[in-house]
Amino acid sequence: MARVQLVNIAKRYSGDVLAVNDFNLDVADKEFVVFVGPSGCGKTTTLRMIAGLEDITDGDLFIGDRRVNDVAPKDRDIAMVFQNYALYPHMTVYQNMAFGLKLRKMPKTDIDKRVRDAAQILDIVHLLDRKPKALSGGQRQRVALGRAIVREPKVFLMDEPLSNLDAKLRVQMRAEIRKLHQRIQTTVIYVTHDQTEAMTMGDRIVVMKDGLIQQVATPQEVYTNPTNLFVAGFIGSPAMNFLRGELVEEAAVLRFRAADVDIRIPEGRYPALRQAGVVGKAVVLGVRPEDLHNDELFLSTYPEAEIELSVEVVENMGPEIYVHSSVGGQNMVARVPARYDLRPGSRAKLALDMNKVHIFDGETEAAIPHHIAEAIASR
Amino acid sequence: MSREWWHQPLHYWSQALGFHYRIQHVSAAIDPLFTTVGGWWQQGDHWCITLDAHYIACLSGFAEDGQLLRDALSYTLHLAAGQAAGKATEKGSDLWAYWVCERCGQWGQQPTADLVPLLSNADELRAAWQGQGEGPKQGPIASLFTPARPQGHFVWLHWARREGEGVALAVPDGALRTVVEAYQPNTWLGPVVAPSGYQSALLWWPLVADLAELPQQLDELLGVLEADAMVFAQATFGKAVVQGAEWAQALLTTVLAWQQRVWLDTPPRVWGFGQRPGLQLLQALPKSVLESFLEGALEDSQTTGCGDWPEEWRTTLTGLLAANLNVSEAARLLYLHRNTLMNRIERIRERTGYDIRHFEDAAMLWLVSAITRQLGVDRERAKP
Repeated sequence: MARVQLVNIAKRYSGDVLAVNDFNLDVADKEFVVFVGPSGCGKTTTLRMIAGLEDITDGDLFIGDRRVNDVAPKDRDIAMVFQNYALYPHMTVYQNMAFGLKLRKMPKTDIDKRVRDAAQILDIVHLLDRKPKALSGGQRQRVALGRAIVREPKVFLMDEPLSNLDAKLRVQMRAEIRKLHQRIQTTVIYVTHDQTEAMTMGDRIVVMKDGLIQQVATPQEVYTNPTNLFVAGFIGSPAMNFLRGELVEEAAVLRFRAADVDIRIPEGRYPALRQAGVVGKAVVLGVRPEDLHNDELFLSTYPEAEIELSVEVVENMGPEIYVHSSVGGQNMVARVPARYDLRPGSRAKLALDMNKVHIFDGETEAAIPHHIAEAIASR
Repeated sequence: MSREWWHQPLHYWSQALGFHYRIQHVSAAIDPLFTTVGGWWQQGDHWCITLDAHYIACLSGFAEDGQLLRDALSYTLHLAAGQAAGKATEKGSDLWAYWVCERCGQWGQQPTADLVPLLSNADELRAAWQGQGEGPKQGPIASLFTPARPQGHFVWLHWARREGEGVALAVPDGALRTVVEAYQPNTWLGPVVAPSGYQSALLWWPLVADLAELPQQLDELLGVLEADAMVFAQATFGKAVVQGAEWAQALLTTVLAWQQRVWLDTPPRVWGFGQRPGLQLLQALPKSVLESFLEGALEDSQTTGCGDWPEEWRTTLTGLLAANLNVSEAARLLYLHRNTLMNRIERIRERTGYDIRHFEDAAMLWLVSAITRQLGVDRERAKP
């Protein structure tokens, strides 16, 4: 049983620097949870509090059914994997993997079995006699994983383990870690600043900023229903486009207005917007790059959701192009099929998919739910 | 009093520093100016030291600019003379404290409470000094007493001593030593008295060709300590020791590097003395000067220092400095909308009078925050 519960956890450093505040999370047994956020958001501090490498200022931490706030790190039954691999340069791969068990005075035969089993899982049996210097970055990271696996811990804590790898290897290793998780069926808490890693690896994502949880949900939920402007902008690449403007009401019709932009809001969203009290106020309209369309069908379906852009840069990604442009002085990126011939300096008409447009309160930056039911649920 | 009392200290020092010496009897009484035991003067190419009213030692091959060493040797001779006369029983290790205090004095600083105990790791030093017991076999302390002097760096390793609810979470030195020695053999010099709330050990790290590699190596060491000893440790290092005469400075700068961390907003876990030279200047300033600076800098503002700043000011200043004062880049780094950041900058300007988009103002507020932190720590220390 390796459920991990964080109840009202806070971390305050001297000088009253609040690194983590009111952190509540229940990680289920065998779940793969990813903490993601910009540097300094408190994700690593939280992980280290779980490990016992940092004191918890307030709150309760449970691993399984046991409160572990005051349990020494070595007795918490966890294993950590770090960005810098943390291998012993003078030892072979075998010795590196065995060392932690030797420190715990485990019998040699047991150590040997565990090391060889882990090496098998990670496909590094042929590397066991090599020293770290003779390994590639990816191989070193596997050894670091192996060293954690041999402990057979209740919980794996991984702190940006792929950040030192090049982009190609990172893609490969993230799939391998995912496979590894499916195979060893252990709870994993994984920290990254890379939203792509978070989206592709986590059963659930915890988005953090300034020491506070912004949203906890599945990757899909975070992507499609971000709770605020920060989450919306942080998750997704290219990032969501934001247009700052005002929500006005004219003849019982709600419209979003900004410089060179006048968009009619679908009626289905009126109740939630009225309830949020943002009519007549500043709002931010968010639209993902893939929800901007330039095909005729779309333009004719949403004639009142059309904007005219000045194309500035076109990035060819193969099957699609990223069109960097601006409207009324605000930047926009659209992701459209490569068959459209859009060139820098030209003007283009695009329509917003109004079913997928997000509206945020201009002051609180909180997302206004699409429907009343969601608004009630989100309270 | 035995005439031989100076042989042992002189012998040790000559072995450690590679100089030769000749004891010379002076028939006429030495000029009163030089009669103090341990007084120095130059005679041609040689440095001479007074042993007593009738004997001097002339040293050859002794560094001309070794004021600290000369002072230290004087101090040693004082001790030895006192011991020979049955007057003093001071610890040999006080020599280290003396060295460091001397250097602190030159820099206009008082040695802190952290520093003297570190240097009073008495038993090992005294044993080596008196030629008794095992003594240190390797590392800088031993090398003071042997001709073979290794080159390298002192590393001061700290790990938090924590007391839980009825549970002592102090980590035994042995566990750390095993991991440290597994990572880099023959580096562990031994535990030393630590600053409050910490446990400490002193390491001797082999000289690295490129100083930039040292933080990286130490960061890896801290990584294995976390992975295998499950201990969060931090390390500081000072200047390298390439020649024996550089030790005092190396040890002192290692200790000062730990103190430098207080000046930093978010100190990294590995910190070297020379990593931000400006801090050396701040460290050298007396408290009264710092207080006066703070008073002047905040004269027209509504703040008394970073202690009353909202958290977002701290991140705003840090972010803007990290972005070389480029507001758009800082907004990107801080994941803020540019307008939000501009609002924050404006609020800081309203309350402090400093517009941190300009270098001078940003630097001023950085100094204010660093100095407030430092003075805050001093105040904590001063509490009974």
